[in-house]
Amino acid sequence: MDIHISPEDTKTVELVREMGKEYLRPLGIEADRLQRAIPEDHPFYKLVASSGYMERTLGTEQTDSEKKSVSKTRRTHWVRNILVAEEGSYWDRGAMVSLPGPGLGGPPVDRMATPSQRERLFSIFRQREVPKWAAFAMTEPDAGSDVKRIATTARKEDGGWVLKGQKMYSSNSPRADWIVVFASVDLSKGRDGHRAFIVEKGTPGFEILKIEHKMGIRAYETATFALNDCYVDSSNLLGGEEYYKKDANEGFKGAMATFSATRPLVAAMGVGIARFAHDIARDFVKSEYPHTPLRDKAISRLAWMQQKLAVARMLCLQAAWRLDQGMPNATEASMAKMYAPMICLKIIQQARVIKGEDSLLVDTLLEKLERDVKAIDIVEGTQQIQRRIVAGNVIGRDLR
Amino acid sequence: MDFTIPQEIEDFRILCQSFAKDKLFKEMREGEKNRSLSQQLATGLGELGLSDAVFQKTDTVSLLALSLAVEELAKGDVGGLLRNGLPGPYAGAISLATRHNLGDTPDLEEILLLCQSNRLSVHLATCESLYPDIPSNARLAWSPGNIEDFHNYERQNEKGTHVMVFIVGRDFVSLIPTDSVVATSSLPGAFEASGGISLDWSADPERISTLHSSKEALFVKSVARLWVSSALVGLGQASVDYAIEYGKSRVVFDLPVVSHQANAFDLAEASTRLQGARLMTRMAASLSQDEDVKSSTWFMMAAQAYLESVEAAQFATGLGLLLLGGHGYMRDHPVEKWFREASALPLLFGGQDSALADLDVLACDYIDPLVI
Repeated sequence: MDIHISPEDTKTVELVREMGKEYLRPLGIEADRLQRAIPEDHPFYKLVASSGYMERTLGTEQTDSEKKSVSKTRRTHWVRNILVAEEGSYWDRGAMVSLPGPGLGGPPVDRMATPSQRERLFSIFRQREVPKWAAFAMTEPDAGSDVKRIATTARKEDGGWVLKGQKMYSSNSPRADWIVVFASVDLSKGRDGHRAFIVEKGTPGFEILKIEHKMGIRAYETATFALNDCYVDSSNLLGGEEYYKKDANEGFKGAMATFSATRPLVAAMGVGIARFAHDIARDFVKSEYPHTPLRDKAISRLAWMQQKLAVARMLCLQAAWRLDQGMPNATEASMAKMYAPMICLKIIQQARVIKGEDSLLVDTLLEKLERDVKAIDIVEGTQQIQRRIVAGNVIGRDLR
Repeated sequence: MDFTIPQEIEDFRILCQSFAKDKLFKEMREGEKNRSLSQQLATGLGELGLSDAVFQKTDTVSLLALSLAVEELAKGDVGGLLRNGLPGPYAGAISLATRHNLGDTPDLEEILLLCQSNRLSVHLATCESLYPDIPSNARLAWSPGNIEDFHNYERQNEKGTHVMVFIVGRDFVSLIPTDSVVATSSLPGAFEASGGISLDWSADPERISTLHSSKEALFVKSVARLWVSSALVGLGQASVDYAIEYGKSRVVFDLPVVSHQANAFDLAEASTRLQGARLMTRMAASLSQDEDVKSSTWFMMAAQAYLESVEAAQFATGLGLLLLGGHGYMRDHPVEKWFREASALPLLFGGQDSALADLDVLACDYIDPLVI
């Protein structure tokens, strides 16, 4: 076992830290107060693109020998992404998620795409002139945690596919260059009918219906969109038809594999938010807290927060590390996602206790952090879903 | 960043797992009745190679090997492990005593032989809350062992037991002269197979061998904490595994117990908490052997791991007992034993308040090793 972070990962985190201090925090606070996302044409995003950040999030392609020994997952950088997610969210989780790059659209492409699709979809993030986004869409008005209930359909027509339905809570979708959309080719088949499609910006029939008004994490857009008989080319079926011949369940498995990659990331974002809350409380105790017996109590609270942060971080890192090694990580990913948001909310609440009534004030930021972190408990599968997955795996049977 | 367990440690873990499952666990009921393990089992535990795995070099202890071994062996029997699985939680104290030639300490080679043949009897008292200075007289209410072993401490005698009584404070570690110690029987409400003795001593301060060092005191406590932490994770996991097996076959309201969502969710939480505690324990153990890491860093992580394991194991063993319902309360099943052990283990070696106090000292200037 080794706790050391590679020099390359350290460099990436330092880059995010610089960006966080100067841009993510102030932009996130402004977005929160104005209650609107950072505009797509904000000069900051151009700066991010020119720094090569988008390409860094793609990670490193494995060598041929690595591909033989490990993993269906093509990229070996999940530990780095955990570190980046934590650091970015330390400065502002909303602004962090708004950053250009493949975002949640990356993992399904990673797992399912053909080499030519991967090249086509990821190449836009290798250029540094213009910021580019991608997105992921699974949830629907009548299908949240139970994804097998999705009702968006894909009908084969004219050598391509016609998509019809609605998707909701899709982050960055209004500005995305492409979105991974899950749809069913046969609703009667449940999970076996699931396929993943790429819907590109400007596709006729794609319509943003609503940009959500959220309790927190306001720096990026979360949207509901309609697919009104959207025609996409056959080359936009992720993985191609061959992919789904191996196993009818591959589409659903692709979605689940996406979650196994993104859940530790989202959990790490919670750790970042809570770490900032801890630092606010610690600085207060060090510099301003009156030297009364209550100060000892506050210090004990800090020690508790530090312990819990370390545990949450370790769960996230191990889940990501397993993915990097090509090892199964669904249980570990759900453990991280179940534990971190729950405990990070408590950490922030403890920080508020230390700050007392001051923490009611918008300026202390703690009330914002509490609003922000609660989202972590919901997105990428609620806490109940994570408990269900972990329980099912440790018990060794499906839960009825 | 790497979570890989070195192969030789993994092999040793599997060896300990088999020993715990096939021997310790099966015989523990007898051990409880007799207040000791059978001689054969005690010898087997001594010969398992814990001391070799832990004292790989003369100047250090391999806590990762110790941690993984103890996690597995604790599923068998913590009492037997406390008494016969040396160097156990005392590895730090023994290592310190040999490194600094404290008192009448045998050299490491001899220690290894004593451990393997079960002829070492070690006792560790923590006194930071009661005594700010080295006490010339004090009492240790309970420690594993028996009177016979203690009285037969002639090291020169081939069949005799070598006895070491340590006392650790905030900034010192002392070795008490054995002839100043009075031992009496002491029965614990857990760890039956370990037996137990109370130790009272009144020694001339001149005769107490002491090393003044807060760092070494923390080292001794941190090793003990990691041992306890590993044992807690092991018995917590054992309780969860047992409850799952039971709950799969026991049907209530037309469903197996474990398939009811309320129970399943609790099992998920117990498993997750144990996994978090396990990772913290192993990482702290691993950091202790990393020359690039400051000792204060792993001391802190060891205390954090310890506190996390206490919470996780107490939650897991409480749940294990609860899922068996009335059966869980009866001694026919081992879950009540694990429940008692999860409550009793954190009382040893300074307990939770000592760990909290150590963390509090550093809390305002804490730097997590994983925050770049």
